[in-house]
Amino acid sequence: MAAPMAGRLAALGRRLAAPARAWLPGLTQVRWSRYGPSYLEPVVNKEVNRKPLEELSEEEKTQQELKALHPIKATASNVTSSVFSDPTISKFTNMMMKGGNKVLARSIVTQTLEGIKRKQLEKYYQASEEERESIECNPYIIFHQALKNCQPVIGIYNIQKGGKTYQVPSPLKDNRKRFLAMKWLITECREHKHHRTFMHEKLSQELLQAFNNEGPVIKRKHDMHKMAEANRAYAHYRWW
Amino acid sequence: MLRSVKGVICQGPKLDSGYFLHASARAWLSAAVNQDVQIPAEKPRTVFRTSESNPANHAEQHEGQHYSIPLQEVKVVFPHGLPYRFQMQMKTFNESCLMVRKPALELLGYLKSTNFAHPAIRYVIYGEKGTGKTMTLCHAVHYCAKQDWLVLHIPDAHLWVKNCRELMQSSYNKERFDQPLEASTWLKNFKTSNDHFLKEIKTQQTYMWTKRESTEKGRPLGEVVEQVSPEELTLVHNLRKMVVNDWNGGAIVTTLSQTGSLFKPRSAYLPHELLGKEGFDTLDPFIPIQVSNYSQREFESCYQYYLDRKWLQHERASTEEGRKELLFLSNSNPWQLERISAYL
Repeated sequence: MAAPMAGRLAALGRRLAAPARAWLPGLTQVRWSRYGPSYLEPVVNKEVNRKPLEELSEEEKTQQELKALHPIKATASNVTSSVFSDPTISKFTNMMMKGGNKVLARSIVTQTLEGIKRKQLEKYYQASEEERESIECNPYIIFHQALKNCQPVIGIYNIQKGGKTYQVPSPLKDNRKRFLAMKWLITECREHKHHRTFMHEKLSQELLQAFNNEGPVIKRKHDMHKMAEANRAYAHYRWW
Repeated sequence: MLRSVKGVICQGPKLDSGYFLHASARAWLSAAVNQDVQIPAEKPRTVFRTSESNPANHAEQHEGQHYSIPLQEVKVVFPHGLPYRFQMQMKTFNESCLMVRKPALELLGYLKSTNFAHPAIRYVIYGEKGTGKTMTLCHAVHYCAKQDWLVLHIPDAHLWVKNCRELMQSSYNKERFDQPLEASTWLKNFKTSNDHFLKEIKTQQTYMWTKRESTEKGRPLGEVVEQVSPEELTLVHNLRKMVVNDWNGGAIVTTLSQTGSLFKPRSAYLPHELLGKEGFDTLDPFIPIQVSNYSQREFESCYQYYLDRKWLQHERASTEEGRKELLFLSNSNPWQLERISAYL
């Protein structure tokens, strides 16, 4: 009860202090943040702070001075300054998570990476000298490549026109592609595999198959492309 | 309470008349001593490896270095007893390498100077979680096997006490219960490691035969008694008899661990805390050997070994930054380092 009131007061205060946009009647800012407009984003990368003064360019110098004067927002709790942190892996972990159980999701992902590494290393040590060059043992490279292979190029949107819903092909944004690839991988492992096998085993098998451009997730991507090709006629229904 | 004890009892080889001598024929062990995996130490990067594969010759200069055991020998000497993660590592790398560390060298020194006429000395290996107690024990077992001792290696006494599927009333003593499953697996493994001794010791140790007799002849009861305390289990009873040092001609080496123990807090690692009053009094007097986290040199050696075997695959793991971060995250704890480098 008090919250929307407080929100409106804050919005009013902001508009009085720094009118960024012309006042529109009946429009209040709904999504708000505790941080005022002067707060800067945090920088987690340690390399940025290690550069000596001489090497900084003009805009970096102004940035440094700005940081000295302005307050800085707090970092999110899943962001680390670790050299091993990977935003794609974090995104994947968050998508795997159920009910806020990040510990379980993270352990599944680490076990998956370990499983991929073990399988590849076993193959590596049993292969001959010539074959060893072609075997990729880095689980992170395999993960990224597999995701890239699973990303569709073109997507389908449902558009209603004249009472009927048409499947209209349209190019996808990068975020949407990444999301679809991860979603398909996870759904494939959860639903279409035997329920008594461990998730990390299923995932490692799927990722290795996707890395080699085979498997059910790649098939699903091709199905999506075929649908888009089949519905080419409706492409002009897109207005964006 | 011997709840938190895993033990191995090594006996010097004996002939029927009770006389002891070191068996001269080591033919079954001397095969495959030359290490084709070891590269001679010309290149500076192989400082973490040594080609000395006989634990008897390990000395101060080998501290921190890995020595490899041929896989054939591993199958015979360690049918059970190696930690699960180490077995997985062996399967992945296609070789088994143990690091030579100070506590192990200390223990080997004591074992080398055992006087077989005196009663068996008890050694207790203790330390915090994941510091390498089981691996020290395995190092000692390998040494004893190479020296042709009779090795009774019980990998985990907790497995005998917890989660028992079948219980049979012992025909030897009506108040005790046998566990045929655990006993038979252990006996099979004992046979694998000490094959050549079994022909010699048939008539000597009667209590071993009692166990075998009871597992064959025991008739399963209709209702299995749920609430059975460890004192009533034959295996535990005989284990306790072996640990009492009223016999001579060998040594008793035990490892304490909190990992499988019941009703003990996670932070407990000292012998007095883990054994309780009864256990401590049974094992007292003993020589304690403490195992701690990796030193700088050992950490460096382990890190180089993982890099060499391509276990650390992350591109940042081979940089100085990555190494410092690994050191910080694992706190030089061997178990923690292994778990972290598994997914990197």
